[in-house]
Amino acid sequence: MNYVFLAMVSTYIGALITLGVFAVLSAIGVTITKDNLYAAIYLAIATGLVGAVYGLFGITYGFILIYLIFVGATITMTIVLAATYRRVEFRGGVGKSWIAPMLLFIIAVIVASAFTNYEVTPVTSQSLISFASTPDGLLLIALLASLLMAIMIGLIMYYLEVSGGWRS
Amino acid sequence: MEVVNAAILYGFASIILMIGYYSALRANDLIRVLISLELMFNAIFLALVPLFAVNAVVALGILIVTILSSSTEFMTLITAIMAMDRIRKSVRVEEIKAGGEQYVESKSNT
Repeated sequence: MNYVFLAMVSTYIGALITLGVFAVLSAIGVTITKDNLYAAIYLAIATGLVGAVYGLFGITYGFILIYLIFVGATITMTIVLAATYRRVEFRGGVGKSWIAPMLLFIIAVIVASAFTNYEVTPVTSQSLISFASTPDGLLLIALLASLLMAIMIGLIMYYLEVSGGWRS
Repeated sequence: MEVVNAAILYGFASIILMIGYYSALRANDLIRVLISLELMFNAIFLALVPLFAVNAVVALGILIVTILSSSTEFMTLITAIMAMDRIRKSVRVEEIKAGGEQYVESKSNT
């Protein structure tokens, strides 16, 4: 029975479902962990998996933008900030009954989008390789990577200044 | 050419968005609120993927605007968190009150 199901699911859909399931699991990890640093690391994993969906669909510029700008700069700053204000939090806020309307929203979105039957055609996966082999693409990647390194060096210096040294 | 139903993408995006909302509502310190906001932006990026099949140039423009707005919102929140940490010596959500209230005592962050 499982083999029949696996044969029915195509390669793209299988890869997409795998990436989505792991992204959702990382998002749940953000919610249930008590340490801010681990929450930021789970957030980085979820963002990387969302960027991998862009790579799966062959959206080259979106993939590079998300990986180098969003993951590289914004998420790195989140991790450093969470490491600065790292402490075990005790829970507050709203009660757990708020899960019910959220589940209703998720079900409504899935049912509505399934009935509209809006289909997406992925681009061939060769586009990423061809992008990285052109001089302009390599120059863009090199520039973004150098920007990333400058941001990371600044963040490390900030962290060392704030905390006075690396914590164990 | 293989075809993917967009309901898969929208379903995962809505699940991640709702987890982000729940995490922000349950959060007790402002850092966790910031992390939850970034998680919500992840859901927006995921929901943007089907638009690339319709008009790739417009979708890339929306993606760039989304990334820039998320970075701006992120820097604004960091500035607010640092200012609050400097004034109140705490990043707890309970410290945020309406303007004009008298502050009584300072609570330690550690």
